Amino acid sequence: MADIAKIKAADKKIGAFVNFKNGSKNELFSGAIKDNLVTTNLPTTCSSKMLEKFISPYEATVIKKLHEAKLNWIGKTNLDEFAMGSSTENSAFGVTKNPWDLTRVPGGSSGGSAAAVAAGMVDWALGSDTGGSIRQPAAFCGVVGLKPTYGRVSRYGLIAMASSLDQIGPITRNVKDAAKLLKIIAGQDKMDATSVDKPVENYEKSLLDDIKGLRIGVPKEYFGKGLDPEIKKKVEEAIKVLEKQGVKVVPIPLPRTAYAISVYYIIQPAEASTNLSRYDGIKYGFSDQSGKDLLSVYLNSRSKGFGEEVKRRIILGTYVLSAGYRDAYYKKATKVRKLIRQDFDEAFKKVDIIATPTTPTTAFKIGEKSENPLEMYLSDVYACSANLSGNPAISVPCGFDKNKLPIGLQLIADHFEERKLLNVAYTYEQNRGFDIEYPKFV
Amino acid sequence: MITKADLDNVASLARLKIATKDEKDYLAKLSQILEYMQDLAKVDVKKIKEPVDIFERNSVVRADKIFKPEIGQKELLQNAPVVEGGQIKVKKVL
Repeated sequence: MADIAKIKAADKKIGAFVNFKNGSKNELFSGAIKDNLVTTNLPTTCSSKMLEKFISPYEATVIKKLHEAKLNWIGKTNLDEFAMGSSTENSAFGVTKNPWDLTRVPGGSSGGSAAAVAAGMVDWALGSDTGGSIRQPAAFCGVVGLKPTYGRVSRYGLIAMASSLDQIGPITRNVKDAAKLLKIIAGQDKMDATSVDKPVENYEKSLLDDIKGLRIGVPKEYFGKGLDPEIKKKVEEAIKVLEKQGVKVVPIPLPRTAYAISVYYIIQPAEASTNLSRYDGIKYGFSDQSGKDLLSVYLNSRSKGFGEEVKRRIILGTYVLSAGYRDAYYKKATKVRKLIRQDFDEAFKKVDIIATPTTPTTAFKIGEKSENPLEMYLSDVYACSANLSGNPAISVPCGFDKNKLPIGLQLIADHFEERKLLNVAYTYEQNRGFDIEYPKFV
Repeated sequence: MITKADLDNVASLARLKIATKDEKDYLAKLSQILEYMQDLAKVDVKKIKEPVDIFERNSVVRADKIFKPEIGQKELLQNAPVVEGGQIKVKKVL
């Protein structure tokens, strides 16, 4: 869009942004930042009352890297509070709307980032993906969303939700821009001990490589009950497009797929409940000093500062870690997680890339799932396995359903095979036979 | 499955207050989620050794050198609600 005033006017309809930078100009190739990445020049709210006024004393590594690469960003985008959600309805600062249909959700938790890119307010955005939070909103909004390998991008300055699952990645209009952004933000960082010492490749340069002869694995577990038939058809057509480019399609088993949501919703709340114990009304964030003693400051600050879904997950996480339940839930889940990883490792001995739908349905109506958390959790059924196993995965638009709502093709690669992943995604995008127009929401 | 006593215990451990009017809703939603997770009981995990290591990495230890932090006391305290004499002040513990 031409200028900031127009972006702000468009955002009155979409609600993608939490805060705009003062005096920001819309330069060529401008972006936006999910509001759980810390910045020193704007508040970092995590879309929570808890951090409404929080100004970070330091910058996230990815923000520094964007600055070094001279990439301009104009503001911070809305998310489900503390990135807990799949619809961007659980924000203390309002619901973000899907630019393709304003009565529907943009997905989540990086819903503000995906909606801002889809609506053409920015060319790119950064999101974070703990259980599908980049790829699911990218699929719902008809844009590209990349979750890199766990350890590929430094998490320093990403407000921790579930530390063994969180990863920062780009949301863009096309695969080429995703490759460009990944090259900028990737790399080992001394401030994140889980970032890995592997060379950052020139992802853009290898987009044009020939994919002839590559093997694409198709797991039947991702095409069964619960998948919208229109999505099934479009994803199968997308796989045929790749076949025409010379790839070999191989059926593969991913037998533990059915357990991914259970494992995810034990490990993620368990880690979140410990990570969020730091919000105590003492060091930073919302503080209620009305009680007489220290304990009442903890209780009142946390109970009033956190929203409902965050509290539910802290309770769930504390429960699965508590004496008497830890072995049956948390320990068991970590072991099944290992089996899920082994399933992927086995699959990648036989194939180069795995192709699946990103989501079982297209964007749902605002309010449709907000009273049923389990149903909401199931919208990440195809996305969260790659977080549990740490594999890189991308969602690329592969068509629309009868309601003109976008559909996403998910491609998954072996650890640190982003070059191959982007190469296949780009080849698909160039040969799919259509362009993604801008939604006419205005 | 999850009882009111469980909920009270866990809420207290998590330093959260659950209003009486919300208890029923918490119990219903958490029970539904925990019920869904029962399918994990079927999975055979005997071959998985403890401790479980998903990413198969060695412990990471940085070089033993003084590491100059980029921010100081002033910045660290800038978000604290109650500060006195350069220190965070809290209410009485006992």
